[in-house]
Amino acid sequence: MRLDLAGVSARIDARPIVSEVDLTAEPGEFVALVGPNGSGKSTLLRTVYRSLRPSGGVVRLDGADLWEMRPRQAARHRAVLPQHGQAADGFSVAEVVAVGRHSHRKPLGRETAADREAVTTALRRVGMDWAADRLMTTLSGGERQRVFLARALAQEAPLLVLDEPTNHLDVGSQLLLLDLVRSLGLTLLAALHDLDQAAAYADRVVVLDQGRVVGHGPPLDVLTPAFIEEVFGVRAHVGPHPLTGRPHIAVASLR
Amino acid sequence: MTDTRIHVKSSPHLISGPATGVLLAVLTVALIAALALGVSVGSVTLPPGQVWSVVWAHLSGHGDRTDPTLGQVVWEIRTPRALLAALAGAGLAVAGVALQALVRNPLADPYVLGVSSAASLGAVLVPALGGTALAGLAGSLGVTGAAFVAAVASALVVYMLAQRSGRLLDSWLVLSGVAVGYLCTAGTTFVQLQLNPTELQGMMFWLMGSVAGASWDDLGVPTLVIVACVAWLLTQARALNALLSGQDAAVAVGVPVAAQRVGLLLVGSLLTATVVSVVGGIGFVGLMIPHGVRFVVGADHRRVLPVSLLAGALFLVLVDLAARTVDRPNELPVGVFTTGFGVPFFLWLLRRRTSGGSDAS
Repeated sequence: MRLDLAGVSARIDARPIVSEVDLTAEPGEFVALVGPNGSGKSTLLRTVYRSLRPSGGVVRLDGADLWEMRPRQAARHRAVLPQHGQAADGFSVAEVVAVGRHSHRKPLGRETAADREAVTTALRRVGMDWAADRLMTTLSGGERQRVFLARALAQEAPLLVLDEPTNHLDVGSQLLLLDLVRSLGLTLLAALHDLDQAAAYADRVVVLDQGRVVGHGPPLDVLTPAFIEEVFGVRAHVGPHPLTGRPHIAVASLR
Repeated sequence: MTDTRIHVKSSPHLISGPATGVLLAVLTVALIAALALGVSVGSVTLPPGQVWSVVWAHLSGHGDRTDPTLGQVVWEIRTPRALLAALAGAGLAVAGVALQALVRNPLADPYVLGVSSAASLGAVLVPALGGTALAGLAGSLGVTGAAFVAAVASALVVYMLAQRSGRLLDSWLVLSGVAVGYLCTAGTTFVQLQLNPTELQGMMFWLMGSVAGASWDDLGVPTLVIVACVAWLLTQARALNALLSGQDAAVAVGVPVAAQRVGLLLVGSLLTATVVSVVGGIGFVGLMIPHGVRFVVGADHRRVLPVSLLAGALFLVLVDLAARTVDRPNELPVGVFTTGFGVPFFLWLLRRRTSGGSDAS
């Protein structure tokens, strides 16, 4: 699934937040969206969730306008791991993941064997199948986030959009989650606030600042120390990770 | 590898999966039994044999050959009354479930949007307007009609206050509902002061909620509206589950969230307005029944909705039975009983649940 944002602008309460963003993600590619707080990352992603209609430009999936699709059709093409996962009281893990099957059913259709299979498979892929019959409220933050990922996987969509998926997770859970999404073979668009993680995991980064794209390309080409200082206002060291050999970015304040 | 059906025993809910079917069957049988009891028992208890020969005579279309007074008591008074109680209980419970999902707040009840207070205001206005320029309008609507119009109007006002370019804001919805509710309550209090004691007596009974005085004639339209609203809501179980996952998550899985929420608000309010306009403000059913049901079957609306429907109907039929038998031949308002029984039960449930640690996190 190829994602293509062409000249996308978005407003909240008539205030422009994102201006004329061009962004593509090729099939199977991991594109990281980075930028300071308030740069418009979440707002831009909302135009791909279909929770905020762009005020200009177009979002295309394999050439088809995402906003012209019916809600269920769109849900079969792109899945989302939202920033604020909510676990209402009284839902079991399997029931939460089953919500991801919404677009695969007719309004009155009963749960099919395929639905149950998709739920089980999704839970197994995130390593949470042991918890299918646990209440969501009994899980840790990292476990819950993996269940929300399973809900997105149950949609069986080729594009996965993630909004700061590692927020509020401990370091182990953060890397586990990133390794996991990386291994899924899906087209990925993720807003990340950790530059080191963006450099280590993404094929390409797109940098937003004040609602505009100020850099895009392979992480090491874009995220140079001078560029990082200009956009984020921090000193940066860029080099191979001492343990993994992958691109690594260490930052320090300017003072 | 794993089939979810194998996991039934380890389910986190007291009753889940196939056992829910059994629960629904048990509730249905209990409801039919309670309705039968409701028709047989009253200020005078009638022999069951005679009662059933009356009911059967009417259902089968044969002439009623029993004592005409007895026939009238059973068929014209008690049967519609028991059915109205079932209908109102089911409607309130399902409306409660829908509105709790809409505002994503388990403490919401069908009256959170001010519908009940507005209906009361509409009702008290009818006698108060007698002799004024609006007397004709008030008279043609009747108490029920005026209550219904006022309830629907309040829901629309709350909806307009809480929406912003087509999106409903949770907190605004609750706040404007509460504000409109208070305004209507103040209005009701003011109007009550203008009424004479006789008018007030009739109003009080209505304000506290009652299914007394139900007749076949005023059962028709409410039945249609309530059945249609409940039927639609029953088909929305999965969308309700998605809404509870958060607005973005619901959009992501393919729920047209804005339209869905407007639909829920309108159908939930219409349902509540209809119930309130025929039976008055019966408190607590819409809050307590969904909670009790969630405690037993979990929060998945595919189970919560049908179980609440039957549990709500059963509860109100039984409560009405109690309201007219504990102090025979006097009758007490149903609302006093739903709250009187409801609050202790609800608090017990809450304590039990918390001590069980099921939601400790």
